[in-house]
Amino acid sequence: MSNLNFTATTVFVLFFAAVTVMGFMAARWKSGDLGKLDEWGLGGRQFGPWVTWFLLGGDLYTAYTVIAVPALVYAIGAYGFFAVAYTILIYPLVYLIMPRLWNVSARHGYVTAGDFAAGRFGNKGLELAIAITGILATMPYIALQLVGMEKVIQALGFQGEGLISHLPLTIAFIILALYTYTSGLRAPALIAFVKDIMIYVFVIAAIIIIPWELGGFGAIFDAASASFTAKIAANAALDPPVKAAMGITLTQAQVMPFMTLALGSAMALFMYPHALTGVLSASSPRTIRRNAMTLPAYSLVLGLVALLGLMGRAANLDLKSPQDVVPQLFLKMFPDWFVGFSFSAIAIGALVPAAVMSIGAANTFTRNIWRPFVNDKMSDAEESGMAKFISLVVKVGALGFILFIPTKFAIDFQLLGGVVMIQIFPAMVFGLYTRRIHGTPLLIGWIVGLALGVYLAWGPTAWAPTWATPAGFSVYIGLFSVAVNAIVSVVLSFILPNTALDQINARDFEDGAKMPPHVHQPEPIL
Amino acid sequence: MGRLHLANSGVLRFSTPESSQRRGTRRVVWGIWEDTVKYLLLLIPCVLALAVPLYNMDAPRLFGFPFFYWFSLLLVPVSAGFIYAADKVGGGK
Repeated sequence: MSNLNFTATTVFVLFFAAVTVMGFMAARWKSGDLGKLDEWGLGGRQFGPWVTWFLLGGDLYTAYTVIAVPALVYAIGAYGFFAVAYTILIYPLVYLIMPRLWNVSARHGYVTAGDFAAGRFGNKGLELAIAITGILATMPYIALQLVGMEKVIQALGFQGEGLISHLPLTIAFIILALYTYTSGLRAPALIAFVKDIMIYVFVIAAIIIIPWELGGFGAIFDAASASFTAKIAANAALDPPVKAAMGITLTQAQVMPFMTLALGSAMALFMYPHALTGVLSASSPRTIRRNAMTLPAYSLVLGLVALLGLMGRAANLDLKSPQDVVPQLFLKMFPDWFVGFSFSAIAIGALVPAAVMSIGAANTFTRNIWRPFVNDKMSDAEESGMAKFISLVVKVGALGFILFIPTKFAIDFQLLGGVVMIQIFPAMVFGLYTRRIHGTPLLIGWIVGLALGVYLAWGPTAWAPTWATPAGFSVYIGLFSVAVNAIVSVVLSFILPNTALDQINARDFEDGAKMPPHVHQPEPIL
Repeated sequence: MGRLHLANSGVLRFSTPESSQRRGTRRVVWGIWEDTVKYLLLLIPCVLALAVPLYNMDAPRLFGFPFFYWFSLLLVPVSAGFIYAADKVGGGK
């Protein structure tokens, strides 16, 4: 530990400790009966525009994003900017569909996507499919939050052998698990305030000071461009030559993957349990609509964060892995105390989504796997007790992922996660607008889309998110497979009979003044 | 037969069954028109974001940013503006 950065570590530990206290105190904030699932798991559906803004912002723009997007931009340039196009596409979609989902969920007491599917389609198989999709896609995503946290802890100078090297991460995660257990969604909602403000401060500082030191944005883009050209030349000179597209604008071949990846990612994002948990915890559909207009502020920050990748290129950093670009850039450019501040922003940034994701996965397991298939007579208290317990299991699982499995697998699974998650898009969106497309066809569509997506993503050496079509261009596998999924669902809906019970009335989707504030018992599933 | 009544807008209005039916149709037509404009307003930022060949270039630069970057970044607040406009047109529903 001789090269531990003492000042930075002190600042880091101080912020982390403050946030831990907040996490435990959150149980008493806007207090409710935490023995009920939508109190523990949705914060009582009462978060107004401001809380929702901070919570969703902190939840969607994760620590891993702050590490991974600049890493991609550092590695190949403009292509990493797909994240900006992607976040532009999200909000018109959120504006349209999420208030409908909120209305129907508040009226029927739904907590998860599976609850909605069960009520709408009366199909346990589809409910289970949706639940499994969510949990499968979320687990590696939580693991990656830990990767983000571990990158900054390593950059502080912690070193060790074997499991000892993971000790700081393990401690941080145990603390997180405990206050999520006691406070539920209130903990990340409260911590999100701190996290988001810290991220804004660190991004604004970085975007002013680093260009100042590197000679302005024009110089940064020129230096990055020259660096990419040199890299392409060096790759071509290798034996055998490596051909990788990179540069400060897209090559012709990158355009289609860029577009389809942006669109597919946008469709997948709000299908994730953690995104839905954030949306359903809002106090009204109005809150969601207002957030669709105000959340893009975070997309701007994401765009600026992405630029850190190019700054890393321009600064000629010597990196072991592209994922070190942000931590190493900060160590090079900033005084120790600000490094500590920024690193704690990233680490705390990992806590919020990790907490919400584990809550989302726990809600899903409890509501859509345990209750329909194991014990359909759970009381409120049993339900929230089960969810609390599962949130612990999920976190231990994610930690095990990091401790015992190479990080590369987590990243591959996360790439696959989008391809998997997008497969519930047809069920959710058709379900919100029409009852013509029904349960069994959607379940078959899901199976076809999932199988096709996984088959195409299975490359000879690694998972690949894009597929070279016979027509000569590449597309994002998620988008292609979900299109097949939707077509299968629609066609089969005209062929197969629909006999299932639909508990939802068309008016349930509309905004309404008369709505019970809390509906704890969902209607029985027939 | 017509009757005198206080309309929603607060003005005193004389209506016959035929005239109020006409107004009802007009309201429905107006509602469809509103919805169309709302969906169009939401669609525009999406189309712009996906029109990658249109902005995939270095020049013109702004504050040293190549066009690709400043256009993408500018599109973020612009898209929020479009959602705001759609919300106003749709009456927040």
